[in-house]
Amino acid sequence: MGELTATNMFESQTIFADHKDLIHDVAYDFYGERMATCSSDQYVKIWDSDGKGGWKLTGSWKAHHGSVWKVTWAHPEFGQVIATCSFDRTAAIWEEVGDTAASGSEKGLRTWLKRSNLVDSRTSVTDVKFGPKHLGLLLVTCSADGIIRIYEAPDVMNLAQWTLQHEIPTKVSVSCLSWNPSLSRVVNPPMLAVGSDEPNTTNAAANVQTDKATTCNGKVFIYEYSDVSRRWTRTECISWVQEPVNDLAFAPNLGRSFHLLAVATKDVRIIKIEPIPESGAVGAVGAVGNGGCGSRFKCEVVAAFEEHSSCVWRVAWNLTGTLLASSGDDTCVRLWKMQYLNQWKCVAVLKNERVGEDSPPSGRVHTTYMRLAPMANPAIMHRH
Amino acid sequence: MMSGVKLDVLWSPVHHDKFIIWGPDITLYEVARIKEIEKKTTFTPISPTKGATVVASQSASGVRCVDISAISEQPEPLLALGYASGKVTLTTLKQTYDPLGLVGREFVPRFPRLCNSVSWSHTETSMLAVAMEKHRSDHCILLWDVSRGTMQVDEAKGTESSSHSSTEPIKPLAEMGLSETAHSVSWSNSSSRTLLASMNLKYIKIFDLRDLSNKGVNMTTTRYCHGVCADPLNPWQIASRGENVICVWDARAFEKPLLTLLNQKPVVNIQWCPTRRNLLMSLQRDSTTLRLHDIQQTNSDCKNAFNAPDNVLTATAVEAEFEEYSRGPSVIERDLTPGQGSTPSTHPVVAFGWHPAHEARLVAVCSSGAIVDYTVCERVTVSWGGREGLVWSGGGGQLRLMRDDFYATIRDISYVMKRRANSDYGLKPDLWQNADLADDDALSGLWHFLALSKSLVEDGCIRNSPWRHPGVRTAVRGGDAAYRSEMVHSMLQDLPNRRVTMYSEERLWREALAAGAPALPDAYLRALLHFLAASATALLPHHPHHQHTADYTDVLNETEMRLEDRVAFACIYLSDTKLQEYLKQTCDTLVEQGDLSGILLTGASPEGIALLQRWVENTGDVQSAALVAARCFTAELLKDPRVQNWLDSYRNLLDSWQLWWARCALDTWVAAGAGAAGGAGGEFAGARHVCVACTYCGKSVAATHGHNRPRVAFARLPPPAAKMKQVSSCPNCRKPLPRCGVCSLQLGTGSGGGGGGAQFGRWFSWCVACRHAGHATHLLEWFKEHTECPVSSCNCQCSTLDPPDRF
Repeated sequence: MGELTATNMFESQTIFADHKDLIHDVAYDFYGERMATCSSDQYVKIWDSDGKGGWKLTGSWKAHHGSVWKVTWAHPEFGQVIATCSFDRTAAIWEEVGDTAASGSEKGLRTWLKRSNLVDSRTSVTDVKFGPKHLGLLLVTCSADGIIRIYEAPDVMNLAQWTLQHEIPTKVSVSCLSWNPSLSRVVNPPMLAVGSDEPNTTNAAANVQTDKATTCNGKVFIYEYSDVSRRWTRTECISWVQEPVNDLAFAPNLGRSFHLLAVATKDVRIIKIEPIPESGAVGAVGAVGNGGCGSRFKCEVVAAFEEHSSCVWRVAWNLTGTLLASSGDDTCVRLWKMQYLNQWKCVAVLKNERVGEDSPPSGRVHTTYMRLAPMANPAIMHRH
Repeated sequence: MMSGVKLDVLWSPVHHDKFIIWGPDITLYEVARIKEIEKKTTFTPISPTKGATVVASQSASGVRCVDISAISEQPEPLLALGYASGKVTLTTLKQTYDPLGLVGREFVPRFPRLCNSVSWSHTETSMLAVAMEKHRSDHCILLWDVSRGTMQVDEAKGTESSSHSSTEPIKPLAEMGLSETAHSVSWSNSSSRTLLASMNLKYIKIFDLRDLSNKGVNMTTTRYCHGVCADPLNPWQIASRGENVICVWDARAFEKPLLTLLNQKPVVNIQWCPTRRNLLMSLQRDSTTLRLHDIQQTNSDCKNAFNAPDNVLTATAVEAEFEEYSRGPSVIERDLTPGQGSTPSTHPVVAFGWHPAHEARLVAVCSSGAIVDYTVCERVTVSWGGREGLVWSGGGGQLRLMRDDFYATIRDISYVMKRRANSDYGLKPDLWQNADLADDDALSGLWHFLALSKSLVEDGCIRNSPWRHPGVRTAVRGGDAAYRSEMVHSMLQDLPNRRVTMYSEERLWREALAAGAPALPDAYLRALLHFLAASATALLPHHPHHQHTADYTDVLNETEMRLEDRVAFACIYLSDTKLQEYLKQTCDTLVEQGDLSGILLTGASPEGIALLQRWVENTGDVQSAALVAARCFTAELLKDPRVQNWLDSYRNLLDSWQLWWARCALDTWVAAGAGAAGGAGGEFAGARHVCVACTYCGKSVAATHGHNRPRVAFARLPPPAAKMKQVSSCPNCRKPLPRCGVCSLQLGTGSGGGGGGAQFGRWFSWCVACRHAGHATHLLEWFKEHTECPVSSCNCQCSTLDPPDRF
């Protein structure tokens, strides 16, 4: 194990978020200068960077009548807009406006107005994501009853009007989704990955129900939009993932010819999804190694890490899709780095210091230490 | 071992490192880090770092119920034991100093019967409630004040034997439930003197004991009345169980349960988490898991319960929605398997107890006898930001961020790319200047080669190349030998001049040499020996001209030799066909590997795109690929969707880093590259240009002067306007241009004069929301003071559409 020297010990900065309950999601805006948090206390808070490493609370309001699961920022060209989704079965669009009550000098205080409330779901809305900006102002939500809804704001200046464009039933409980951020529309049609947290206890029953997809009992589905049929269709079911999925995320594409999808399930998985060229898809015999479901893609698990003992909760990519952060049951955040040739290795473990166990709660230190693994052998990475 | 025996775990409310396990024996454990436990002491490991040592133990025969007092003066946990006879005694398991003289005290009911439950109040620590079976002429719930009795004991100290035989036994403070049965009692810890009781198999009663002479009782009827307990953090929230049902109640609306939770197996224990709001844990019979019930409040009452901070920023956004939220609370359930590390126990859990103070910590006992110290960890959410910010949620509502120095250590490509972007990497006027900025051998070689290749094309050394930066393969395609040797000197100029002289034709010696070659450490030496051996065999028949028949594959396969040297060697010694073959094969391998040195062979050509694509996929360095494309690719190559994808991705990165200058320079290079070869008709040229069009005729207001139109158009304008070279009306249709919202003068185009662009201050600037416009300087001044649009009838909050200023 790598010795603990001054160079591999880092202190993290702590913001006391003052949420009254568990924080479910943190989201950065496009520039990484603003942060939104949401919590079970039904509040959403906005934090602005001062550019010198400090963060200031500039907005805080009760956004829903239930736990707020996710929060997400729209691209800044649509204004300062966030979307939230909640256990109260709604998703909401919020826009920041200047505080009309404040005079010119007090521009620091900002107000967020609810521009729209999306009430189509009959169950808890589990995830919400804005689409890639080149598709316009799109929003997708998914709910516990397994319906994916895609909304569009036809007039980007009018955030009060959202039309429900598509409703895609998945027949399984959906917990998370991710847009494929690929910028080239020519090569990649709009694509969504959704993950299901349907428990496996009803596995046999589920298989019977989903008569059409009997070949696959995976938990991750790929949906693609076809310009021809004007519909979203399930083009792939990733059979490598059989356990309930807590989170998934497409890596920023960054000029790659394939897509990387990180899945948080029993372990951290990185799945490479490579579109098979059209010519190959015609000769369907060429479809190798994709688990026998569909022939649009060649899927391959490039990495699977079980270091988070039993359950992984969240995964997040950095801007370039070369670092993956994951959190799991061991309460650690682990960073996985792409080495040359798509080899992935653990480069850091960030541990939340357990509160109060060894030190009295009053004298608790707000620091965390991380230790870089020796690059040579990440297998012997210890838990701290 | 212990299966079938009732077991319970209880933490001491005062001593945070001590708990008892109560089964056939009552055993007091002390928790410590394994490291700190003395060597010889036997301990039970309860977590990877912690162990529990037995402090004391005593037999529990006849004991029906136990609770630990919250009296803080006690040096050791003070237990109240309820016996089958109805007697309750106070004891510490270990002999210690007893400041209040409570140890050994007994509280006896008037009529002996089974004692069902004892409960210490945590707010008034001397209060002890006892629940008992039914007796027709006695109450079933007795409330004792243990401190009151001590005085008598103290007084009676001299007459030692009197405490039992004393003629006046201590009277309970209060008695409730005449000729009823109480199954369990528990205090509501958050409000004073409120006692909850499960009674007669069908009632839950809440006793308000603030006024002992007038006891208020609130009650409800339910089958699921057992194990009633109140949420310590939310005084109105009460849970009870019965069979396989858990009910959650609101004490203020006690008629029917808020929630009825069905479980598959009978529920044997429920407890509210003392550290987290709305969290209830239950244990089912013969289950290996504990179930967490996270009660979700959807009614707006919970806002009051939270005591929301009346902060200035609070809740301006939610207008009171009078929508009826009849849904009430709901629950999210989660099963936990307490276990050590990654191997969760497979034995059923028989008991658990929340730690009174440590966040979400509990101890569970399995049927195997194993004790597990477990902390229910909350979901940690993580997120990356555009500025390399990693944030995750720590416990207790904290967010944690990593500092900058951390990202420098990881040396991820994103960090490297940002550093390079800040140093104008790829944008320097001379290609070779970028090589040093890259700070990477492969990339440095790439830029140097591109610079060299460009100069060769410009000097006319390489002719007829379709690409601006041809590689060796393009150059040798012609296949004429003179050209080839020329190239060796030009493109591969740093080939060391090595002259090999052969001294002997002793074949054996050479073969031995060739055999020994692989052992040599230096690739060049090995190549030399291979070369000697090969050329010797070729020379053997004394036909020096047949040199090309020699087999140089060993030399050429010496991949540790620099590619330049190998290629140069091939150019000198191989025949045309073999050379082509060798180059193709090497090139394909390098493209497949994404090895940047292969650019020597491919140059900036379609093969080069394939090579860079591999490089991007292998390293994530889209920056270099995009910059090479912008600097060196012809218009035709730029149209490749892969190249467009690199450029778009890199633009997006630069946007996200707010490196506008770098992005602008990139676009300029791309436009230049596309325009240079594509000519004026190329679709790229001008695609990125922005022009201001007249609202009336739709033509650009700037594209008028000079060649297209005769001066006539200007001649008809009033002379001063023409002199000012500033157009206030559309040059095509002569309709007026829009007026500035601040100064009310018409916006000039600024570029009408043809003398370069206008000053920034005169630029057209407009709000994308209300589309009101003005001179840039005027608008800047206006929005320093105002947030609203300068046009009087417009209420648009133009300036607030941008994110707030950070400074």
